[in-house]
Amino acid sequence: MSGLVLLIGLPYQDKRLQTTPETVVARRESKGGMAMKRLLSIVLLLAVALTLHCGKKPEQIKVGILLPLTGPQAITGLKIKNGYEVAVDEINSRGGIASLRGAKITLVYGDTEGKPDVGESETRRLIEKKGVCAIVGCFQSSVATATTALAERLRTPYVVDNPMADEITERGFAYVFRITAKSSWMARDQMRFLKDIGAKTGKNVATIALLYEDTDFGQSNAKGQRESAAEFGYRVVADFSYSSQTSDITSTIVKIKRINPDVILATSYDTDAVLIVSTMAQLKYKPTLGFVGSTGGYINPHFVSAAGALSEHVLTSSLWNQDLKKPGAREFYDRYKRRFGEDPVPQDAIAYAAIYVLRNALEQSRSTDRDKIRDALAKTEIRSGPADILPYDVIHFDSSGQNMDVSLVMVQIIGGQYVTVWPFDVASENAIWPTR
Amino acid sequence: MDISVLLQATINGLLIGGVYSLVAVGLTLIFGVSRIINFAHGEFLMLGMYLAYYVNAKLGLSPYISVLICIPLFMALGAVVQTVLVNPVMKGPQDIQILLTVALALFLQNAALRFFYPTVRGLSIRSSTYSLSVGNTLISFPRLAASIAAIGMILALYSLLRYTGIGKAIRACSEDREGAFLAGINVGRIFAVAFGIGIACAGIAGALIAPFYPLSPFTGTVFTLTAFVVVVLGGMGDFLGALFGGFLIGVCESLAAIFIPASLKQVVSFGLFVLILLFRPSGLFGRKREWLTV
Amino acid sequence: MSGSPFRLSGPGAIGYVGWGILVLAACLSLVVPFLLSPYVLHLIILVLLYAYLSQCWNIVGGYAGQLSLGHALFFGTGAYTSTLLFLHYSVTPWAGMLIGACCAATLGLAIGFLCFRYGLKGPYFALVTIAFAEMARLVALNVTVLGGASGLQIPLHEGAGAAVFQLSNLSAYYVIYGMTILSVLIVNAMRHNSIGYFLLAIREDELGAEAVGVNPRKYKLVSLVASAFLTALGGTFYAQYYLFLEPNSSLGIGVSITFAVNAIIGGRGTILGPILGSLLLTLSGEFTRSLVTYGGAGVHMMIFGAILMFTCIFLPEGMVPTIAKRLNPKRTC
Repeated sequence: MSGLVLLIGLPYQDKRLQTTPETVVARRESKGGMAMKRLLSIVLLLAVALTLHCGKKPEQIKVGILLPLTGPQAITGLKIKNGYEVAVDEINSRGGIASLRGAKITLVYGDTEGKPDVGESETRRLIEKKGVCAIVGCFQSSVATATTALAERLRTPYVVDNPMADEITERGFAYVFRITAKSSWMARDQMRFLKDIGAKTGKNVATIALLYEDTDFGQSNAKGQRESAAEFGYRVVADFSYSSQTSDITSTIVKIKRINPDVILATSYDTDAVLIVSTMAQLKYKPTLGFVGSTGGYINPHFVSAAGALSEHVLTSSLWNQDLKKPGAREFYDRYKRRFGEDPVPQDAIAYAAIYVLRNALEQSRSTDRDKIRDALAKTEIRSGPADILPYDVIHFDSSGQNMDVSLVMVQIIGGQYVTVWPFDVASENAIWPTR
Repeated sequence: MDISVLLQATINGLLIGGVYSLVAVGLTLIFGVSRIINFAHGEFLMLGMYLAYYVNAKLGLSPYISVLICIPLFMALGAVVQTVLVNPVMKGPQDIQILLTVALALFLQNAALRFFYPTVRGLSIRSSTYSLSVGNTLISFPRLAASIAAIGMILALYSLLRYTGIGKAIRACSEDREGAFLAGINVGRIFAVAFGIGIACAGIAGALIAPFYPLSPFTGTVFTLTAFVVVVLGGMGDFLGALFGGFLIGVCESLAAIFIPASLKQVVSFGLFVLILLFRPSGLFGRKREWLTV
Repeated sequence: MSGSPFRLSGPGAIGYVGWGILVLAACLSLVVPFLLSPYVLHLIILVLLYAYLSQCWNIVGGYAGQLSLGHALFFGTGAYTSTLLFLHYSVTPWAGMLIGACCAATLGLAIGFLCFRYGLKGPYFALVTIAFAEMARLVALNVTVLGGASGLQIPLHEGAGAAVFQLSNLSAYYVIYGMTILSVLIVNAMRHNSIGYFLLAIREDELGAEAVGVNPRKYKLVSLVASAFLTALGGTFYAQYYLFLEPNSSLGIGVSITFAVNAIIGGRGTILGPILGSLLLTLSGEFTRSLVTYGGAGVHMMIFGAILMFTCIFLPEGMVPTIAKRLNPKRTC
């Protein structure tokens, strides 16, 4: 500002130094007028500068969001979008990023269409064309694996919120940070649940059947489940994959019914989750002790409305539930419901937390420089505040970028509602076990 | 392998096979009459499912009543689609015709995505969970109803084609377009009617499976591919071939899923498909004719 | 089947001036990449990649007139072969490219032999190609060695062989640029060679061609094998560019349809057709995707489907021949 004033003030100085007879006469005559004019213009300049500065819009911080907004996974993609928006609106309405003079966050969306190569294309577009300072996303593990590798090459921090495949944080990347658990940890927590509930009710589990859809989601979950079951001493008596687009799963259910396991551990997306429970009902079959889903289609409220009474007593691992005994959980649920008219899914809660983790990093880094944000993310340690609505005590990342202390809960559909039933100290009700 | 498991799988295969037959009959009719390979066939099935869903949700009517609504509605829809979209390319290269129906499939699927949203829905009616027990095997009521209704529709269609005037006109057009024209048959209108009937078959099948099959805009593709396998198996344009082929494929897929991982069962279908196309292109029943055989 | 305007000699659809402009543009395009932002360069690479792949499809789909909707099989074979060799045996992608292409060519030979020997034509051939590609996809999805559903991730390597592909967009640009020019030259050579005549004859009237002594099976097979070989080269490029490979995006039916659609909308049986088609469709795809907002689910694919239907009804020959007719209405062929 001062530079500008000087620049404009310069001609006045020039004229002073020029002393030709004409200018001397002219100057003598308008000396008083000149002085007035100069004073006036300086005042005007100052006024303009002041208004510009105050009315100046704070910087916009562009954050890229990768989601499947079209294609078969758009179901959940569009829902998770809501979670991001709730968080961003809250942050912006409360003054934006304080350490960057109230700069507001703008979300720039990239539609991955559920495909890794499209995801990579969109990643490039967001980073190179739109100039986002960080990326958050992207729901599907296969897309995440590809896009995080690209973000790493382009040195852009990437907060992975929902994808669970183990390898995402096992490649020694520096720019990738994952909030949610690895799928092998979910398997481990599922076994822990079975052990605990067996001890509590006396109905112990001996045999497990694995039923999973055949893409990355199902296959990586099943792998984790096989390994954990061996560790905990459970026998896997059936191991069946199926295509999530199948029109008929009767044969597989018939096989399982014949084998008669204690528990079925299922990994499905939305359509197949409904197909499985309705096929089981038609075959009048329920596993001896319980049916346990592994997030995915089972924690989507549409599962309850589409499957109706058939969904009753289905258990599933979950990363979040609205009845968690955590201060912000209920408020988040209410705010989301008020704004969008439907229940949030757990992926919404993690997306919400992810934005707050990023905000935290922006506050700490005081900059939109990607490397600085990356460093701030690495030092994240959140124990309270809006991000703390997830069922564990602290969000912090180890050197591989993985959130270290993530744990999952087990929820059960009771009376058409998702109820947290494990771990017992955060449960709101007792589990119904066996589930028949 | 337990015999009861095999028996259950066979029964299930037969039940879903009835629906496959209905869908395939529609496809083969369209092909037999106008030589169009309708890649969008499954999408009309999906639309039939959504129709049943919304009729049930808004008007409280059972999907089996939706079937009655489907018939005139989808016939009209089919006729319009044929006249507006398919007709202009009928005289052109076959590849363009294929591409047109592929484009139509893409359009319909994404229109459904846009207007019905990708949320998966279930249509539950009282009879959705009924099943009959015959010894050790369970026969699910909605599947049985779907199968029986499908067979009924096929038989009705068969009688129509075999014994009525319009049926004869359709067969004439399929055997010899120009000859039929010269005989005074309005060929354009017959094409539209045939297309309409074919689409109606798909739509009806959709309404029939709605009570036990989860709805989503992407349901159509799977049925399109299966319908192709059935049609090829039965002989393209062979009506009865499609009928028996549907049951055969239903049972084969069901049994195959017992022995191999379910996600690979489609490989069996495709393998069969290729073998038949190569070595017995006139279909298993080998009635060597290129037009609609009834 | 009505053919598109097809000249076997002379300047072709666009005239001498047209070729002159093209050559000038080609020279410029060698230099321009240095001035462009990385994202724009990425878009151009995409356009060139699909132009190349569609041009390869054009050999069998346009010139030979056999509608293949399973070219993803060859594409994926090239991609997976070179990637697996690179990951497990450290074979440089340049060699892997050729090996993969040979594998794909063998597959093309087998499929072509089966299909053409048994006289599969038109839609039947299309259906068989779809079936083969789908089977390959299902196998890749379920076999762990091939990465299964998680796919294969290619790590960055500093080795000289890989470096050209991976180090920067710039080198990728030149590689795909070279490949596109190569495909154009091959197709052009084919057109002006006797094989071009034979394929034209087979396409327009197979029985008649056979009657005058042209062996349709042999030439259709040759075109399929050549097309498979070249498509697989593109597959390797794709794998090395994205550094990630999975069954649905490399062997899925959508991939096959893309190759065919680019060529058909642009103009089958012409050299410029696939290039123009790729330019239009790839760019509009990227553009409409960035417009997706609330309630936009499926809209851009709806529009794509509608455009495709429109093209089938009103411009069945594709854009290049239609434009050519407009520019030069006196042409009879």
